[in-house]
Amino acid sequence: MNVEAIKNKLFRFAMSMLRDEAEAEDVVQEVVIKLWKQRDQLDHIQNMEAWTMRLTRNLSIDKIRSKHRRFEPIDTVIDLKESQPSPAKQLELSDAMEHLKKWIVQLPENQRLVFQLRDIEGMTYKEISETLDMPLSQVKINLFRARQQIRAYLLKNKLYE
Amino acid sequence: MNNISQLIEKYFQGETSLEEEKQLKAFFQQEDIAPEWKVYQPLFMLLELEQSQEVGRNFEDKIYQKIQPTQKKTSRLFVVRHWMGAVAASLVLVLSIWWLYPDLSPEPASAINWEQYEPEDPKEAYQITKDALMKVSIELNRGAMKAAQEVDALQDFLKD
Repeated sequence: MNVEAIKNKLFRFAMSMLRDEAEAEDVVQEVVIKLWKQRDQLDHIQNMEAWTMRLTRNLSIDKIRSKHRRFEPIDTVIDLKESQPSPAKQLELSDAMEHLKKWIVQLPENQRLVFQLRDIEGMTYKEISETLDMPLSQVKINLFRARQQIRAYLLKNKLYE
Repeated sequence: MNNISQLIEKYFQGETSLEEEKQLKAFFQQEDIAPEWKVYQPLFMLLELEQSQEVGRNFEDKIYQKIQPTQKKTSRLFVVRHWMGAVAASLVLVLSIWWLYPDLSPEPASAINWEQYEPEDPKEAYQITKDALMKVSIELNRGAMKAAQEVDALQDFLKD
């Protein structure tokens, strides 16, 4: 098990759910400490990476539930009607990326997580299926829908051209 | 260039491989992108940027702080205290038995002749004492060594 290599991946995954760096780091620390304490009993786990990702997901969900907050943090939800980008040509590429990032947060939970694991973490469909406990067909459908929605948003709003 | 058009189409249909997705991300990192594809540039640049997000610099230190306090309990101090406690308890028990049942003491006349086991020359006596002290020293250090080994193992666990 290579903690050094996986810690940033776990952190990004926790961030995609918690949207808070300190909380996401707490979750990853908790995962690593659990791994350390159970290091003698880890041999039977077949896919360690998927297992740690699943643990990260569960701990993140616990954190969200413990705070009784919505799964989508309220402060990151933006009102699409009020936040239509200004004329595309005036926007810098970084502004476009920032705007897109905020918009992606609002995708349905499953679509967003599958998109995160595939397009940012570069995981295979099988790994995503194991991590999220989701049938392979659902993984593909969620990814397809997420990308379609993003494409439609980009074409409609022309954030950068 | 046609290839990029096809790749973009495949990507949005959810049909690209991981390798093709890497190609797309790499392609969109350049500055001169044809006008018809510029609209997708924020997406692929964002994916690349998000991929580089990392935990804070003090991540390992925080882990050490969280794990080490529990290990100190098994350190040398704990072993010494444990050892001294055991000796003290044994002494109290022996003295209590001796005080309560003085008749149980063995007859001095039938005692073993310890003299036959005593070392005969000073060199041998010195060696026996040295071995005994070494044995005690090893026992005392075992706790501290165990704690040090745990820290080393934790470092390996986090870095390897």
